[in-house]
Amino acid sequence: MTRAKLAVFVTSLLVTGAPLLAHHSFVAEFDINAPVTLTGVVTKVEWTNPHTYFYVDVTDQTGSVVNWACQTGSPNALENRGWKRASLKAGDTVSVRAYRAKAGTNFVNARSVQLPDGRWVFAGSSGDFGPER
Amino acid sequence: MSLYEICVLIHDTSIGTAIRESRLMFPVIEGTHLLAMGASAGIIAFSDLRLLGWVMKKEPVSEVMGRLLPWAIGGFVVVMITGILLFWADAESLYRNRWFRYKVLFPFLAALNALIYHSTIHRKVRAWDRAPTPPRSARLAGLFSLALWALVIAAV
Repeated sequence: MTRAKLAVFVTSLLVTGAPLLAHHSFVAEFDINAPVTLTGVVTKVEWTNPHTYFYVDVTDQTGSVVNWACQTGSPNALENRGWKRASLKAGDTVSVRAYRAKAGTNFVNARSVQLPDGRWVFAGSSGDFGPER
Repeated sequence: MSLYEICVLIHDTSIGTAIRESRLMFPVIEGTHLLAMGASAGIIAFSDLRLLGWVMKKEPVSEVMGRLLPWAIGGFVVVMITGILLFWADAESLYRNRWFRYKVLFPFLAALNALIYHSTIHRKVRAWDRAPTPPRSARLAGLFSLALWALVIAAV
């Protein structure tokens, strides 16, 4: 019976553990030690499952413009937090509190976003065990 | 027309876009996909473990298989339907995901393994139906099945 229990345990690990790794958690892709606050102009919004994305042109001190990709939660997660599809559109100025991707590209996981109406809203990614900020 | 162009075409259909941009359709389809996968792969895992001689040793192999497999197949049909819908919604990025190709390939290998088992080893099940530990070839088929389904789930 102990061997049977072991078998069930190992199988359930295989069956349940694998998709958790495949569907990345916050720590799999983003660096908790690399917080960043971006302010810039939205260039594109992708209102898509399982994550929405928006892109922000950020001008640095030297005047050069870098386009940052910001990952947020699903449309459902955003709408539950008072963030509608029309809340953000190209041309809007936003501030984003985020964490950079471990890969070091201009890619962040947004934790909260200041919408053009001045409200700070959570970016709907809280189910991934990442930090809020 | 290349495979990539076909995927873009699928991605941009009104149904694909509707699922991708929906508030509830996508999470409901994805949730159903995962639950059905868990049920189906879990049921298959138990028949594999019986073949390995680890569980339900007192039950005849044909009895375990006969009762479990219809549920596994029913669950797998739900997995396939919801899986096609999920692909429909995200065909363009799944084309670029090389792991997704394994996700499509491994179920075929698992099905091939099951087909070989049922058309050869299982034909002679009468001879070892009540054996707590089935013969080596049957145990091997069970082990392959467990490994292949774990890979199906892990890919992507």
